Amino acid sequence: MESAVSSIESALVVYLGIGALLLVPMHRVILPQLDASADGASWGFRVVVSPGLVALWPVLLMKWRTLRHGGDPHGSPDLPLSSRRIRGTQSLLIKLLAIALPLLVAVALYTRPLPPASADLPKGYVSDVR
Amino acid sequence: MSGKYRAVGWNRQKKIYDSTLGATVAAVALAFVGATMLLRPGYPIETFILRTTSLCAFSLLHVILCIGPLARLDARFLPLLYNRRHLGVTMFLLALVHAAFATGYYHGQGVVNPFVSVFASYKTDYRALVGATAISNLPFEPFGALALVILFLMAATSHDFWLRVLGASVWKTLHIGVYLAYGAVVAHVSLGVLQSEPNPVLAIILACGLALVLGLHLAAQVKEAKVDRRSEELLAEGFAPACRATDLSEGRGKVVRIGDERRAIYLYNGRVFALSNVCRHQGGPVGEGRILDGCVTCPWHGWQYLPDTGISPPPFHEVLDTYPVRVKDGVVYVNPAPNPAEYRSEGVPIAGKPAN
Repeated sequence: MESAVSSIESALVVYLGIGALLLVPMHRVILPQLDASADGASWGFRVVVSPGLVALWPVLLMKWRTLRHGGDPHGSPDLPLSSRRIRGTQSLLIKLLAIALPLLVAVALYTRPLPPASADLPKGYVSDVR
Repeated sequence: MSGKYRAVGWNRQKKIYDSTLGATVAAVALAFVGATMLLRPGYPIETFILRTTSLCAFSLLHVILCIGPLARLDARFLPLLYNRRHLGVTMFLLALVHAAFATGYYHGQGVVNPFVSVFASYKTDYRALVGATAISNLPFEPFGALALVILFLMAATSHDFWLRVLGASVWKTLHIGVYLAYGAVVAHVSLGVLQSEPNPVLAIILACGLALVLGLHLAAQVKEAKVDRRSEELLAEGFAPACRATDLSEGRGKVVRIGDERRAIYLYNGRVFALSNVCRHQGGPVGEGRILDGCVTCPWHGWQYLPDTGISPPPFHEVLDTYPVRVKDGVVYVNPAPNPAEYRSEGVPIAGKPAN
């Protein structure tokens, strides 16, 4: 378990490191090409969007690649956003949560262990204060 | 709307909204710290930080989730929607502080990497020692980590730039993830602090919050389903009946259902116009807005469109679909098929309504 978590952490550090290295070229070259409003945008804007750039750099690179090959990186801008699909997804999620969460809380309360008597605790044990 | 991007497009409303937000969070935090110091003196500072940030973040998450259905149930709550993204970013920052302190306080004292310890050292908890049942032995940290990742992605992509780059559908789908984050947070609390906290107040607060969030969402869904059913009976081939002409007010919008989609109907200068109900900005309900300066104005963030073409006024370039309209025997009919791009509708006059 520890080695698996450790490997995931290393992969995450490498992934985010690449994103951090790409920040300057993304701000200077890619963003202005993807969205004209980002050209000459304020420093505050650059700071605000940087965490997302570090996390989602492959998405930006794919969209930039699409643009370089003459495609539309944003898909079809005239494609109407389906309110039916959004409402349907939201409605389904709410119904699932309405079933799962009360059940989870009830089971968690019902099966939680009684606090151990002080005499049963290991010597030097300090109560959990989370 | 489009233009040179800034970090935040400040205006008076946003300043009032954010000042109120900051003052409320500070007041809740101080009240909680004060009450805890009185009732349970001697807690270390790390515990205060952990509990205060978790309480504030969890409360804010409830507020954020309740605003949407409240606005659907009662239009007086619409102003709360205006700057909801700042609520979300504030909530994420509080959750981040909570996660950082929890990792450092509980997992940073040993020889194991704290990040690894968070996910791998759960079995050292006392619950394993007292033979607890299976569910109380489930680790709660991964649920908190999952929620934090979702909340980070939402906070990091809250700027309009991301809406443009990712596209409205992807962006909206990503932000619906707040419901998954809420589920993960409830699991984090239920499997974590609820297992070791003997005071019933926490369980009562958790149950009340759950009932509030889910109850409001279900009530809003029931209300919307009733509206959808009423208009479904009127659906016909070609032009579909949308509403009565007398239902319309000059300069005000009305949301109607045409087939499976909703449309915004506007009466402007005595003429009826039909547009898409989904704002190009964040999918806001265009039909719940009104005409300002000759433009249909979305109630969420004030994005504007000309009623006759659906195009945003210069220098902006966003476009909403417009739809053919007929008025007959006092009933407004709308064709579900949109007008061609850049089509300029004359609108359809309603007898008895002022022409200007």
